[in-house]
Amino acid sequence: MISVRGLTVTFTNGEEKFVAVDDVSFDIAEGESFGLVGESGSGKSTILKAMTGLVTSWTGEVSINGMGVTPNSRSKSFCKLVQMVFQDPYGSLHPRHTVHRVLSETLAIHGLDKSADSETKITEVLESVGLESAMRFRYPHQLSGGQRQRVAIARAVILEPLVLLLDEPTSALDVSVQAEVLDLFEKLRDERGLTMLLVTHDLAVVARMCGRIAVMRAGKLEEQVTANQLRAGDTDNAYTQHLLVASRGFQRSEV
Amino acid sequence: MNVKSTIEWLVSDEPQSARQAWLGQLFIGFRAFQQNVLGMTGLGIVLGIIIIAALAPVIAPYAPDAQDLSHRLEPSSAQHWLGTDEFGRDIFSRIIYGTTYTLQFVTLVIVAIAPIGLLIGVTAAYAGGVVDHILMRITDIFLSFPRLILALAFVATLGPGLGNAMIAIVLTAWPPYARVARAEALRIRNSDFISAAKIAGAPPRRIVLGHIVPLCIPTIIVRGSLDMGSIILTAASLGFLGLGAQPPQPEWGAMISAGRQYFLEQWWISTIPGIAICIATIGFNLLGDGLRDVLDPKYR
Amino acid sequence: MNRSANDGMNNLIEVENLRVSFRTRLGEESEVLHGISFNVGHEKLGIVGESGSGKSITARSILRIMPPGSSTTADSISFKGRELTTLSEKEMCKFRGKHISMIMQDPKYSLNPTMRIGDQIAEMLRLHTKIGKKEALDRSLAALESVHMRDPERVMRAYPLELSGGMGQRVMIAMMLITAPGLLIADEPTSALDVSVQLQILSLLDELVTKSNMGLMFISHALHMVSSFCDRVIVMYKGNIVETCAASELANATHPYTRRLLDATETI
Repeated sequence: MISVRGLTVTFTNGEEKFVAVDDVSFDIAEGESFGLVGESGSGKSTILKAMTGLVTSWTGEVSINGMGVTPNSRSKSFCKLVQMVFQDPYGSLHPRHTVHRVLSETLAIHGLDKSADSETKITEVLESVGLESAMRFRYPHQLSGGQRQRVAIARAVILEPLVLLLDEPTSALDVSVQAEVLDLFEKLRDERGLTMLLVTHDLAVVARMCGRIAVMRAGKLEEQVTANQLRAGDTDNAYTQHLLVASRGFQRSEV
Repeated sequence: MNVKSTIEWLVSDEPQSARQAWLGQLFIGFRAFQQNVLGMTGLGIVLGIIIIAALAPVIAPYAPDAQDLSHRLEPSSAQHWLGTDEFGRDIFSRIIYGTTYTLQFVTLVIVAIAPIGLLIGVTAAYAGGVVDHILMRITDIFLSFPRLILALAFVATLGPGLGNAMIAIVLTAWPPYARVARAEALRIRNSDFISAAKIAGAPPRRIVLGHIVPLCIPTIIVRGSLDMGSIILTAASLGFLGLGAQPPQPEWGAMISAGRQYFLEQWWISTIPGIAICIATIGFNLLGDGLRDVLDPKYR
Repeated sequence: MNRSANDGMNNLIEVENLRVSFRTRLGEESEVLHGISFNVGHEKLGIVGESGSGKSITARSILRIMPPGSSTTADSISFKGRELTTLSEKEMCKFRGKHISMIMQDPKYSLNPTMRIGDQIAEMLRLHTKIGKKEALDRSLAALESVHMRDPERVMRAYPLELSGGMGQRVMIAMMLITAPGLLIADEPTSALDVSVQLQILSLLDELVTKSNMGLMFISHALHMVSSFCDRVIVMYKGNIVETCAASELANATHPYTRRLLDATETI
């Protein structure tokens, strides 16, 4: 479904050049959930931004569902194929738009608001992300963090994309809310056969959600492992081991 | 519909329509504004001026240009509450009629400059690059002249008169709005919700008009209401210099100017319009401060 | 390493019936902390809870660094037997930083971006002690060494912008501990940091707190971190303390809310 070959993202600031993503390649099959883990500055989020054209200074070959992607190729058909959920539910919703407006505008952009079933579409998508219809005309500041993230997810799935890109979708949420949102992702994936690319720093989350996981460090792909290998600590890569230990909590002897 | 159920409808947690949700937000904003004593004072003064202007012919005992040369330069009396000027015109009536000039003036100026500044600032911020440079350098050029001096130069070329004074102020007052709007739009441009809109496929026009501009408007409103005081002052200054309103128009600045030569003996001719300008300016400034407390997230 | 200091005699700080309420924009009062009581000894006390549980407000109300529009009442807040609720604002100013220090979540926002690191630490010291500038700078350098900062001389001259998150947090710790306070409050000190840096900061806190025998109030939303790092844990929910237990016993907690938190936590 997704194929990335030799993706390299370079940021230039005057004379200085900074390679944020260095020659990264991976493939994701249809219906698969693939995880990208790494610490801040590892370039994991930049990959998503490059794929969606939010960052345009990249080279390499990216294709999604057989559709070639170039830095400036964000077309309406691309938007219907690939959608993204952002980390911060407080920042990813327009503060003066109601839930209804967020969803109906997304439909309007694609000319779907005129059709008779746009109303049912909104009702359905709200229900499928677990939001009551009473929330429909609320502003973001009248919603909790978890509810906002559900709105952002509703916006992403209302166009019925095949691919969902998730950029740290739960790291700004409380643990109990995180669990609910992860459940929701799993439900949507099963119902709609979505292909997911999840970017996170949290090994526990990625091990739960994804079958295969790529570990990134300083712009490079360190290694690819399966979730079971990760859980069992079955890897020779010192950096992955180091992340695993760090994720298991504080132990005086090991530091 | 009684008051209580209306309020409940407005602050409902489960609005049934977009309009109800919007009105509810407006109501909550107004409630917050109500807590602000100075802001409410400003609103009171401004509303007062608007009412006086609307009812000027009813309130004013005399026509603004009715001369009565046998009663010229008289102090306050039962016939002429605030005295008369050098042509025996009733100063109280002229002050009342002066409100219409002042109000028209500030309203037209603000209505003209706010959209210009907003459009230029937001376009510069969203387009970036060369467009940004060109637009902002033009803004800088206008900003680098003191407002009154530039207005004087424009009026000198265009010729004196209230209309030309207005054009001159419009031409000189928009740059700060462009600046403010650009700064605000730059901050908004990099938010996640703009990225989300791009990924949803929204074209630039929709992003600018539907997403960025509505968030810049509160700042522009605040800036505008704070600016109204100084626009009144600029208009009065032009009137005082004889470049704005022309006699016999009862414009406050021109009235001060006319009373200048009688100031030592008949001080009220200049002083009364001065006080009127002062009250109007304070009213608009207080209103602006109050609006800023409610609308500007930085001051919350 | 089992310092069970909670025997009542050794308490550093005792809080009785602490209540906090805020004024909403519509002018109504809403209580966010409903009369909580707890104490901290010479130990590492973890305070866990989700957002809105009142954990940060608890710390801030002890130090009286509350946002405008809030009101705080307490029957008693005593530090080493000294009543804090009756202190004037001026006395409190001297008290803060000297006896109780606080580390915030993100060092980016806690450090003054226009001052060199060395000057900032030295200023903190000179606010609370009467020493010369030279000596203050020397002790600042020593403080940076004590938090295992690599290349401390360079960091002394650096501006906050030039430091990474982990280095910034080390600077904050050095700055907050230079006055040798009796109690350190750390409000999500590692949440803005990468996992591997988190552990370094935790082990540093552990080392310093143990060495100087002070108390630590460690506020966090991460259960597994608190349970592995602290001696004792307080669980907060909606402005109340719902459970207090030894950190090692947290996995066997009985309160339904604590259970829900434990179940929701993803582990690997």
